[in-house]
Amino acid sequence: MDPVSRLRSVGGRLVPPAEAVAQAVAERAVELVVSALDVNALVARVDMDAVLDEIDINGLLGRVDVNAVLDQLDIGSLLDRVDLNRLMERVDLNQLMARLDLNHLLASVDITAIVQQVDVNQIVQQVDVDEVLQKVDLDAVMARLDMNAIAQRIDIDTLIQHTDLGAIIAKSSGGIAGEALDVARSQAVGLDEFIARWVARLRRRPYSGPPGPDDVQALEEA
Amino acid sequence: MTAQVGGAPGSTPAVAQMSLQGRYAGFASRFISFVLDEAVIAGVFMLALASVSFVASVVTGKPIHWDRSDIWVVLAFVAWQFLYFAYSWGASGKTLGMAVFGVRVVQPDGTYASSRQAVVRTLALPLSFLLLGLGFLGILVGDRRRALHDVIAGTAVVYSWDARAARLRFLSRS
Repeated sequence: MDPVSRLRSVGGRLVPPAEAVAQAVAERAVELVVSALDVNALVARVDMDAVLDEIDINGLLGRVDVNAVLDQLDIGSLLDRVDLNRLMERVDLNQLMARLDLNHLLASVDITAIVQQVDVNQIVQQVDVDEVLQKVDLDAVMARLDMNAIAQRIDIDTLIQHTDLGAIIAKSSGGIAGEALDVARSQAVGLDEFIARWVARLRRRPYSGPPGPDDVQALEEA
Repeated sequence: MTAQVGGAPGSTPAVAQMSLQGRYAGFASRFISFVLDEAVIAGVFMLALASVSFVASVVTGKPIHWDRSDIWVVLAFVAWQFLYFAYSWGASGKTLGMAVFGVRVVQPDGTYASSRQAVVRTLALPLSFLLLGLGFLGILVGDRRRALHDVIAGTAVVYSWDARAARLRFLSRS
């Protein structure tokens, strides 16, 4: 019998138990090493910055197929799981609005295009004008009106000539004596102005009508 | 020149749009009203003299003939003038002539002249004539159109009528 083959058969019988023993020893040794290791202390000794410097993040991200990742994501179901009300409660809208540059925002908005899309007629038809007018404080509106400025814009000459107002004034004022008095006074004032204009011309000064105390002139101009 | 009341609409002078009330009166209005006052003073004085003469002729049977050089006539005329102006200006700020032409005497702030100012103004009025009429120069060139007697009395003369209302009356009649 070949001695080598005998040894092989003996070896073949001894190897499996030896491997099992070695496996058990190795596992036990690993357990002992792991239990003896202070992982926190070990991690503390690791220079993470140096480790991160060694990692090529860009290269790593470049190898990630983002589209494929997104394709696998079900955004709809993700959003369904988001409680928007709770999210909005946590948002400080005032702070958010304070950070917004509204002018910049409005500058970028095409208001004309928006307005063109609005059907103003339809909106107006839905407005109850009577109800709106009932809410208007006309006294306050009238108080804000400059009646003097409005009166200045009225062409009184035309108004009198085209309405019965002239007849009312004529009836309420004096007769021939009053008319004669108006004419005499007007003639005298005309003469006053004629003389005053010539005197101003001789003195090389502008003339803009009869002078008066400041308050009277202010009243006239008002 | 006379377009204060008349005139076509659209070519209305600026002054015709003003009421004029409270504005300083010009030379012509003041001068014409003064002339009218003098005519009234002279007319009333002559009427008074004629009345006195008539009464005297009825009572004594002899008519009285007044002589312009008579000192009493002159004094009576001056006193009548003083009374006429001082009383008119003190009572209402205007004489009959001033009332016709719509001017009145006031203090520079627009309030009525006092009796004292009326008396001072009446006494100072002759000064404006005695200085060869130079006392009236202030009406033409002064900012407040005050004559010498106005300056002395602390008064001014303003329009007291509403020119704009007169214009409206004219337009309503035309």
